[in-house]
Amino acid sequence: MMSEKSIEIAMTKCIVWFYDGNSRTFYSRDRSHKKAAPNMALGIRRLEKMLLETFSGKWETAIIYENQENGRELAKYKRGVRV
Amino acid sequence: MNTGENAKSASESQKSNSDEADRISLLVLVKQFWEFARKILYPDLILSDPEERDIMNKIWAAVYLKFSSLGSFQQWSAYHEQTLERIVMVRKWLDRSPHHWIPTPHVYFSPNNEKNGFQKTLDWLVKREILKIEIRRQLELQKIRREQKLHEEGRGRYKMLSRLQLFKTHEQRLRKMRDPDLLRSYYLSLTSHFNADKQKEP
Repeated sequence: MMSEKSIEIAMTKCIVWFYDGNSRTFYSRDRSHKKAAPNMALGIRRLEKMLLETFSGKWETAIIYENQENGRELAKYKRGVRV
Repeated sequence: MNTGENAKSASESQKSNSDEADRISLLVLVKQFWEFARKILYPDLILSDPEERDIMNKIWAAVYLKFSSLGSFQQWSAYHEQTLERIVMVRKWLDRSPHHWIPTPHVYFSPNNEKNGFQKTLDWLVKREILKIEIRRQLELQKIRREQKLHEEGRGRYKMLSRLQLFKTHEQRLRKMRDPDLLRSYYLSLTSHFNADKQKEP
């Protein structure tokens, strides 16, 4: 589980709708090491890896948003492929 | 410098201005490179803005070396042409076999990728250019050998010339290519040619 602070400073979040009806929100880890500058692309790539490897075959839809009020949609996945 | 302080600083600021303009126009090259690479190498890839920006930063660092070496815009765009050429070479290499593959762009264009990065294709380009020069030399020598043969048989374009005149024209033609090695191999071929003649005579 992530701390509230790291949820707050995460640059992107990923909402996943699973086949079993559950949905969960994941927040990105954007730093390559503790003192590195945050890298949004790195966070997106890590979320993508989570979707395609850790949870492969378990979700129907996943969307990555910017982690802020009215954040833009950055990437969308359907049944294992990016659309 | 004998100019006053003001004039100096003014010229400096002007210089930095033009540098700035150059820098921006150079960054356009990075964008062009990425768009071309994406179209040629990764036609099916879908990426978001931050990811593209990250990749372009990597291209700037790895392919264009952060534009750290001083060069005019013309020099950099000549290099840019070469890099585009290299992308086409990679595409051809990929098409040649189903076992050939390249990693995703953020790995392929990473400045830290020593193993299968885009930087390795610079060697390909150098190798190809050397091969081109070599082939041009071989063709030239072949042509000369044929002309010599025809001359001996009393045919061809140079049948009116004496042997020395023919040699002079050939030498001049090779000298125009500015390649001392080529000239040397021509002389060597001549000696072997005459030796062969001598062996035939008795």
